[in-house]
Amino acid sequence: MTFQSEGQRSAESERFFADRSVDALMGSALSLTTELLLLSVRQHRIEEAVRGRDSRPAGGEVPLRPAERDWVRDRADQVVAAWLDPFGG
Amino acid sequence: MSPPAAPAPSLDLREDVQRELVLATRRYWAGPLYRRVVAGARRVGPVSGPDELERALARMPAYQAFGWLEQHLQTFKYTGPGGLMPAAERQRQVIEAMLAASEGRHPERLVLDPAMRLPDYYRDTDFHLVPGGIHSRSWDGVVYEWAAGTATMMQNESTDVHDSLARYLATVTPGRRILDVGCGFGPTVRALARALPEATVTGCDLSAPVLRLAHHRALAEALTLRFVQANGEDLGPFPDRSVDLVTATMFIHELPPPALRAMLRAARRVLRPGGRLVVLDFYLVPGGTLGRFFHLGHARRNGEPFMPALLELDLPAELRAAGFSAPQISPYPPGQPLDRLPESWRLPWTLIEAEALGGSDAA
Repeated sequence: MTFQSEGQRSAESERFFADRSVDALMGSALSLTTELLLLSVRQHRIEEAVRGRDSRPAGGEVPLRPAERDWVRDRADQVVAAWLDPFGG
Repeated sequence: MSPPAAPAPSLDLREDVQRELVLATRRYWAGPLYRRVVAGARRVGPVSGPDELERALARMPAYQAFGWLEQHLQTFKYTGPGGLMPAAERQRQVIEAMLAASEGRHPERLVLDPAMRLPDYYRDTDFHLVPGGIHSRSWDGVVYEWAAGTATMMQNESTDVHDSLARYLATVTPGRRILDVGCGFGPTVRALARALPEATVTGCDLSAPVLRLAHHRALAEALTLRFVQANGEDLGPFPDRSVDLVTATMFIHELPPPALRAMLRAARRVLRPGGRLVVLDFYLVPGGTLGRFFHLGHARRNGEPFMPALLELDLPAELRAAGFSAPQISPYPPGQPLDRLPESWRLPWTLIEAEALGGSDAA
């Protein structure tokens, strides 16, 4: 994870959680899931452009448009469920 | 003719996608994952209190994931690769120009105090895990506002609660002069102005950056609101008996008990006799030990160091000691059951109301 210093993360993990492996696993998964969603959005834009539904250059990095929001939200729910469903009781 | 609107800060693709990921994770966290932890906790059997439950669940995978996300999703939200703080810092010039443009319009409605001394507890606490708090950088108000849309409560709840409170206050307010303490970027005062168009509504807060944004947002909605930088512990700029209604939303849980007592006394001072104090915060925790386990865990993992102390206070006694009568404390929205946990994780919203005693009776 790049968003906290090692010292901060260690102190917080030791304070709240016994398993350092959980910290590493969750941190990695959070970053990777975010990247996966970003890749999905880019791929979706390319597919829409290929199908002729989007006249913008394929793979554009323009901000999300309102029409894309529902698709992104549904896809985000899917990738999060795929990540967290295995954490059973 | 209105001047052209200044450019507004916005999220780029990566930042917006990260925001959607954070929201989706919050939905899962507050629903299926929370329910898995609840089911696991119920299998533990009788415990002496939240600490014993914490020890019993410490190795449970679902609880480890739940706790980790409660804490680190906040950090990720603010300072991850597409986090809100780098997004705001990247647009610092846009934000400063936007705020400056609004300050040039109706400057009489924004009263900042460059000599304001921030209380130590406020300066030294990263509330909600915001690195450095929300009081020192010109773009802190924008980060705070963006973050409110991905806070622990769901996005809609974060706005609906202000509107529903305002609708309720429109039925009970004892007069037209309203002061909102700890107003932040102004969601409650804007809701009050919409629900009570005849009222004179003022918001105060310690943070200059959030007040500058609140002023900007009020002008953008063509609402006549006044914002004053002030410490809720003394409400110094406001004269005695100058207000009919004092409100505070999601504010008192961020005060250590001595500051809360001072705030209640200050609210009593500025209220006219018969005026009303209405506080919306987190105090009545449903679901017994299990409910307290979740709430105290949230306080610990979300940068809320004074939340547990609020639960320990006898608020009716504190209100009476500060010069209020007829304290009423009830779950919010009305009718929320206290004897069982909610189906999905939610903050224990509580409405706290009291009436300012007459001058000779006041403490």
